[in-house]
Amino acid sequence: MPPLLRVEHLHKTYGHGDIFRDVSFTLDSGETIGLFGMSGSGKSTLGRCLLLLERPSGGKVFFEGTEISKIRGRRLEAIRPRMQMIFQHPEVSLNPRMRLIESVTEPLVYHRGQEREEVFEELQPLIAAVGLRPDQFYSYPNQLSGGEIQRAMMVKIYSLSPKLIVADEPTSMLDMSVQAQVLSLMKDLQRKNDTAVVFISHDPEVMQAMCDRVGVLAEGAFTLMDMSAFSGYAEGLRQ
Amino acid sequence: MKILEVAGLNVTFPTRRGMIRASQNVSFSVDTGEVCVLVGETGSGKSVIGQAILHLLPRTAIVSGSIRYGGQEILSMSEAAYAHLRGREIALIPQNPSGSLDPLMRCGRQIAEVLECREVPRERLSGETGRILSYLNFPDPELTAASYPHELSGGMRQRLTTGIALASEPRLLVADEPTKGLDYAARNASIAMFRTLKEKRHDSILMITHDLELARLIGDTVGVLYSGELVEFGPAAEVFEDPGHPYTKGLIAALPKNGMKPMPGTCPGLSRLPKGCYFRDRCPHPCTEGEDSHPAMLDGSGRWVRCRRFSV
Amino acid sequence: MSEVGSARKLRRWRASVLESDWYSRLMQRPGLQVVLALLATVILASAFAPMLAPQDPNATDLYGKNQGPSAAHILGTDYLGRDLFSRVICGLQTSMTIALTTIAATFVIGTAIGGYSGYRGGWVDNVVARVIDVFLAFPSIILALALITLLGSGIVNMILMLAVAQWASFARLMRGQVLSEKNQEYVLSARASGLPGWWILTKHIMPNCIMPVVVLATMDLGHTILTISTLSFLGLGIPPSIPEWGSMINAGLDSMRTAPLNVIVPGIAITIVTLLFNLAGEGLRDITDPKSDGEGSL
Repeated sequence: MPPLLRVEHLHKTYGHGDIFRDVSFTLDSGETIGLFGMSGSGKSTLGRCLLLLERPSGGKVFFEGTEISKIRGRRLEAIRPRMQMIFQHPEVSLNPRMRLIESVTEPLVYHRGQEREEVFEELQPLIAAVGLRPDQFYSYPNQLSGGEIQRAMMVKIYSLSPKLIVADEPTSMLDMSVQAQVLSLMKDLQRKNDTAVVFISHDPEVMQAMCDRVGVLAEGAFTLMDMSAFSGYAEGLRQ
Repeated sequence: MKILEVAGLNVTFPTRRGMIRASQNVSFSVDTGEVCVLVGETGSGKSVIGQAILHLLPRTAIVSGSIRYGGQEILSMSEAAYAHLRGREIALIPQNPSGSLDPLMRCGRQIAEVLECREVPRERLSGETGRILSYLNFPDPELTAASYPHELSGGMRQRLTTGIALASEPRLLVADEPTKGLDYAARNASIAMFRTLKEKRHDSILMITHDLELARLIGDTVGVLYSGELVEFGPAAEVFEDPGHPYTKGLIAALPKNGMKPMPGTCPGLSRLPKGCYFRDRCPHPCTEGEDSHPAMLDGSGRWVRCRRFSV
Repeated sequence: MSEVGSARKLRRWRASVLESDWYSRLMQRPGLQVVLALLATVILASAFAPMLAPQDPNATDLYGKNQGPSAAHILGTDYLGRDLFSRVICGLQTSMTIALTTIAATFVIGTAIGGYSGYRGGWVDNVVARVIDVFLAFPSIILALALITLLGSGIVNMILMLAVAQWASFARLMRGQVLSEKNQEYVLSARASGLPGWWILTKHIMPNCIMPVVVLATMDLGHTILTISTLSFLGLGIPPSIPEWGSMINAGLDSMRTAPLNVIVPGIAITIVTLLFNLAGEGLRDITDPKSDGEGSL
């Protein structure tokens, strides 16, 4: 059985320099790999390239055994639901002019051609699982806290039953106690759904709590580490 | 000597949806040369306290209580009188460094500008600027001084605004969320800078933050805010080693290195505060007797905890 | 049976309006309600203008030209002895119809081109951006004059040519808005969900970008009325017999000392209508923006 995600020698250049080069790793269902780096290290760009929200300059990405690096159009739209992303800034992750219920049901409304109310009914168990109440979905994003928005995002993402989730610093804008709630919820959902997660962050302690392995990006160079090697690396950073 | 004494500070905002009680009966003090850190999450009302001290509250705010700076009552001071203090004796290190820096002026010049206002003579300007930059933990202070703000990283910009605040030789520094939005490396550099300020200059600093680690590493005294009021206050070492209030305990347990244990529920909104203890719905050992009465701060010889179950 | 059905539909429509956000925000803004009520009155009046005019706006009376207000003529007469009051009222219809049509055409062309170009990006956007720059470099009146000379005068041609001359500023604004919105995280999220480009453009990007362009459109209304009047004055638009505020101002300039009302009254009329549209445009932008509900941050 091929790994869910295989990345081979991925690289991206921008103008005069490399954002990242020679990135290679594999990921299986249920596993979590971290992408660690300081701000500007290119980890967000790498995350987007994995989902083809940005095009890499070279290298290959294999998803579920098929090479996806060059596909476009309808074929790409068809596999998109299986690879999702959670973003860093809750206040702009959802369309500010749409109520949560519209944003959250939109993907299924499009892909399945169902009515919004129908989809919302189907999502009730998921809404309960993330700890939100149905009436909260009639609000606009600006009326909710960061933690509540990230939970709503998870309803939207998991409604598509993704196999892979790229989490781009999902809690760096949240308070400590909210971070703990959101991350433990993510872990819970991941376990129940056997999802593979690429977790992007600049916080070594969060990495150690969430990941099985870590890829470190520094000055464009990518190094895969296991958790003990990573904690040594993180100690070194503290100087 | 106490450089800052806040007593019974109440700040309320009247809005269309009701009264928002951002600050309720907040009392604490900062000694000269001491670093006092107020820790609070979103919705705790922490920003209001800094704004009240700096006379930056919106005009619609209803304020009562007392803030004494160096023995002088400043809360009810007139704008004209306060203008002599703000930026000179009481300096703010603001939250969003990019917004506070002039993009067209070199960094060293932005510090020198403040020195000129203090009438430091021309010959001594670069020397003084260099001295201030040396506290800020820059790897190459001369290069930094010659650069423009956009050429610096986020963390370096944050430290530069600290330098600008220091240039006015203030007696009290108010730091508003100094590590917000900074990545791991930048945060460490900021912490190192504050340590330098503590040890080499003995600045009196009031820090307002959500960053618990920052409080633990830098604070001499720590105050924990919840839903607009102080629920714990005391020496940093004691509060972190043996927290008194269940919210403080929960916050510490929620840190990733402590196992990232989540607390259930969310804090009550400042416009819909419940009767009795605000933390009751989330407390692992909620009170049953006297449910309607609001717990007062219990004094445990230098430590204050707003919890009926607290004993020294 | 059908009566019950349509009554129920009416009730449901009424309920959806009363519960909608823009309605509740509108109810919180009494000033805006006044503005919109006045604007509705103006638009209604423009539809029924000829019936409201007390006299025939084209009835000339060369012996009674440039007279001041009197019992026969409430606001006096113009240089051909025509009743000023009637001409102003009929002019409302003329000016409003032409200006609104022009702005609507300009708006549609400008936002479509600017919006698509901004979203598409790449070489298409580069080319369109340069085309917009070229159009913006020409003063719109000269461009319109040149085009009308080529294609002949007449109301329809004038509207089309004005749209051609003015679409560029709408396109530029729309393109700028789209360029910044398309990189927002909610758009990326929509792409990641596998939603197609046309869906994202129409449901996410357009609604979030269009309001500044609407405000620009309302502010352009006064400018458009004056441009139309200049063209009419030069004989390249509306025949002088049809009452139109702009051309009334131009015609009355010669006799301004003796009959100032011929200039002042149409001028005030243009000002009032333009002001109402401006205020309505800004108010519309406010009530469709969820962020204007906020309590303020703490």
